[in-house]
Amino acid sequence: MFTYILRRTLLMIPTLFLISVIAFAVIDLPPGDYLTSYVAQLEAQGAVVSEEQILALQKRYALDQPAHVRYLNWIWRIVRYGDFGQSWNWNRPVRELLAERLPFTIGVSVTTLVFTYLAAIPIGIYSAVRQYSWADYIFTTAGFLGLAVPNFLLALVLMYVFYRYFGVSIGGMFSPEFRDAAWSMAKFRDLLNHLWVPIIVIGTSGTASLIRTMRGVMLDELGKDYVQTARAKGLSEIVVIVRHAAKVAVNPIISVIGWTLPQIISGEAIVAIVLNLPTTGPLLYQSLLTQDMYLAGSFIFILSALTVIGTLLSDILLAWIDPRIRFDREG
Amino acid sequence: MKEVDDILQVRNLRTYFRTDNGLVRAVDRISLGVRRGETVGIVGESGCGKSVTALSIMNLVRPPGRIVAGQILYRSGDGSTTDIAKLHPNGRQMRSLRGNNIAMIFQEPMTALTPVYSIGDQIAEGVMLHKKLTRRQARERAIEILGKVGIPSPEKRIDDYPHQFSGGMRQRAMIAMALSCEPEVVIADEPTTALDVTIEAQILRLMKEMQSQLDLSIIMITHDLGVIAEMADRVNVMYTGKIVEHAQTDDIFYNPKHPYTLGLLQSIPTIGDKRRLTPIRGAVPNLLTLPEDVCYFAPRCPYAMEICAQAEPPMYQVGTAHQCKCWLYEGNEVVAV
Amino acid sequence: MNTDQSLPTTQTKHSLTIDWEDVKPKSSSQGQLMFRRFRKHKLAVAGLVVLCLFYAVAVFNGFVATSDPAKRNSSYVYAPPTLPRFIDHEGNFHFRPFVYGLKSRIDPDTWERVYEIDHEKRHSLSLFVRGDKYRILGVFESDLHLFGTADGAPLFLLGTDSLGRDMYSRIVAGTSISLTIGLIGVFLSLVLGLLIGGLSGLVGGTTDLVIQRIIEILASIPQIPFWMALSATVPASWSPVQTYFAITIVLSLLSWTRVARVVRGKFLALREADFVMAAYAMGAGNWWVIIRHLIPNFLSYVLVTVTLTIPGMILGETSLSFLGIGLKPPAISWGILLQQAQNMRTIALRPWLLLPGVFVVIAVLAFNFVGDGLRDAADPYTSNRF
Repeated sequence: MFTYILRRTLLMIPTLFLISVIAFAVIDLPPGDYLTSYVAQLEAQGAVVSEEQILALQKRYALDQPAHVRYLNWIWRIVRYGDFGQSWNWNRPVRELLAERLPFTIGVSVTTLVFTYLAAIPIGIYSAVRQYSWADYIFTTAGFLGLAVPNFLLALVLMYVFYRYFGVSIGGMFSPEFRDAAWSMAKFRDLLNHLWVPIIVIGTSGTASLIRTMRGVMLDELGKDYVQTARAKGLSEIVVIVRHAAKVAVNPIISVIGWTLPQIISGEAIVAIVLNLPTTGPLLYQSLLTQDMYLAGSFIFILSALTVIGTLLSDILLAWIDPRIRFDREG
Repeated sequence: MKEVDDILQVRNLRTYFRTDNGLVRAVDRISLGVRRGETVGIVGESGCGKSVTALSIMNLVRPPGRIVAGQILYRSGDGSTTDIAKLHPNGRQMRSLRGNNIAMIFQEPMTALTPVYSIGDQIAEGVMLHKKLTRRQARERAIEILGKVGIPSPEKRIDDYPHQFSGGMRQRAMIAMALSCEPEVVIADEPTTALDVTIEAQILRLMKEMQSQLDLSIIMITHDLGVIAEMADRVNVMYTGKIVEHAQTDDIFYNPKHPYTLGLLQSIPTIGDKRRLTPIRGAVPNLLTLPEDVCYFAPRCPYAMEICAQAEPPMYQVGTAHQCKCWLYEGNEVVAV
Repeated sequence: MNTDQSLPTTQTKHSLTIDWEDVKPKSSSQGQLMFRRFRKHKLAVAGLVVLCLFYAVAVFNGFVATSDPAKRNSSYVYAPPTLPRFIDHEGNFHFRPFVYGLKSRIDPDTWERVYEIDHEKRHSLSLFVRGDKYRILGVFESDLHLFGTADGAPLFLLGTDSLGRDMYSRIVAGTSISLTIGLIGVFLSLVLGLLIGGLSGLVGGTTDLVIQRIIEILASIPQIPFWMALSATVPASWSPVQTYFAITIVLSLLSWTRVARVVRGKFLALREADFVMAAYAMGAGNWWVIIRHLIPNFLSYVLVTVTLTIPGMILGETSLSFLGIGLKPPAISWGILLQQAQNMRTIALRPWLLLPGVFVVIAVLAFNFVGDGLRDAADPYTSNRF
């Protein structure tokens, strides 16, 4: 098990390297000179920028160097100093902004992921066991719809429905009175009151596709010989389904965290913009609109890196619960 | 068929599958009996309904299949008789028979074990359920029975997972699982088909040993006449969902009556025999396209007559404890089933 | 074993009515089987019909629209939908559907324009009326419309937007971009996927390993942020056509991995498949095997993957344009139309601005159903057992 984790962790390094290259491409791609825009921005704010300052900035970002040197400089500063560069739009280090927003992104994403699995697994099992029942048809229809509705549209519709029929404005993560308050029990409760909207909105499409996968895998497993063996032992149907078929069927479902997680983080970005959540999404959006590229590139890098780490964790989890993988990969 | 010592008796069983393309009569009016301590063989080509017969006796036929008529009478040690065909497949009564009184060994040891549980857990599961043992006691029992079926150092291997066992070992584990609750009847559905020949001999020997130790009745389902010759006391030959011939094993081999049985025998190679093998011409017909009430073997039968395409033959008594369902024996006494 | 005793021989000649040939199951070609199974999937057939309709609208959008989608009506800003009716306010039935005119006034308190139905003005609808000029495929000019008011009065079936432009005509006009961006994007993904996936499957070894790693990495990148970042780098000065193609390329940059994975997987599986081995064993040449066995098998799977990739692209374009970093006005796509629905106040007062979303959902549903039907049909042998 330990060697397996070690090997997978080492394999992650080239992955992270490639992601960082892509993220740097995003930073470097926009036409125009980063420094010129930055200086213009500073001067617009009334600051006097001296020649030395410009030179210092040029040195800091290695702007006079070719692209690969700029990349190495960028990645070195991240690894060595945790310096992701400066957001000139906010005039703050990117790291600070990341630290502010990232916990919310992770929180919302993980909660959504948990919600997705908690909802999809039992529904998928039920749909498979009662194949072609009315409940199966309802879940299947709902699943198709869930996949077809873009989640920003779902957010808009929910906002409309709640505003129109309940007179409530949903959105944000906290009520105004808690927004800047220190953490307390009341603030936490307020958070929970707000959190369910983004969870449902972001989680719907993932849940829908997961239900379909779970149903499919479960139908496969229910047709296998070992299910008959379990029945032949005299076990009751519920035990056969839950302890045998479902236990086997859940494994491939866990292994698709690898693509459920990017889906969730991806959906989170756009839903957060619509619902105005204090996560990375709106900040990424603004930074893209204003060409604040160090901020944008860092977000892309961090979000992708998070996904890769999440996938790694799910693989380790899978190896831990599925003896076949555990032994295959160790040996 | 005498009824006196039959522990299991199947009468006029019909198991049909309602499919999109039509009704498939997978098991059609078959009758057979099993006595205490004997081995009864069911032999036939794939698709003839052998496995569905086995599943019917276990009451494990899944939709779209269903037992539509007939009786499956099980007479347990205390003398009481239960008609399995009448029981609800998932009901308490049926479940308490399954694995406990009647157990089954499946064909594919590779897929018939749940991959995510250890061998020991899978054996203990049934034992705890039927014998009301604690986890620890069930584990002891699992080790004991694994040892009995010839798994070396069972106290170590018990925690292994199915994929760590070889095919032969898995089939031994399957047998251990089937025998763990000391059933009276064991149904073995092609237990050695997936194994190579040397392992097959070991497994068959093991089953015989277990049979004499535990006074088991075995229903041996196979397409392999060699296995039948080795194991069975009596044989039922099955073709397209019907039993076409039933006799003592020796009679089947030395005095076959049904053209199909003869065909089967002529298509197996014999060492030292230089003659050409004669395969049965054609293939098993599609049950969906055949009219009812004809002899289904007629299109392939070298002895076919007019009547074979017009009416289904009854079961004729053609010798001592020897019945055959073929128009060639018209005039013999008809066996009522 | 002694097997040479003979059975009693009475009459032996075959004079049978059952012929072996009747009993043999009929064989069908792969294409026929696929088509037959596809037809069984009712939702997939319905989806296909809807898609054909949508694409017909995409081509003939000027004809289907009731007015020029860019035409502004300053006196009908944010007019609500007026649906055709058969029964008038006095309960009389009219054989011809009609719409009532709209009266508008300015609310003295809010300074908002308020609309009321004008029962005095009844405009009946008729087929094939003359109206605004348009071009089909940029070539054929015409002013014939599928339907409209008989008297030429403005018709706002689905309401109007902030500039008084007819939403129905705009949604119809948006069909071309929203539906073709998926097609072109998927075509690019297909080319990339076939090339890279084929290479991976064909060469194998280290090349395969490296390509597989890259695919894995690309699959782990959250799509929307990545798309957002890339489309944000498209210069604002580019023409709508340039932007259109730039967005298409952006969308296909992540999507080809799915095609490549299927291509490679099928390639490896088919190379080892028994029936391919059998074909070789029977002396078939390389090309014969490829044409007769590999390609038909292959195409069905690629077709399924492609069909299921398109909806993601449609959703991608819609999301990006909605955020204002995809296509930009004056181009018209469903996503661009949804841009107006970004703030709560507008939606609360003018919910009809969300209607383009309904069309997105229908198109995506249709593609998913067709893809599902094709997937079931591509595997005609699997689920046919009893």
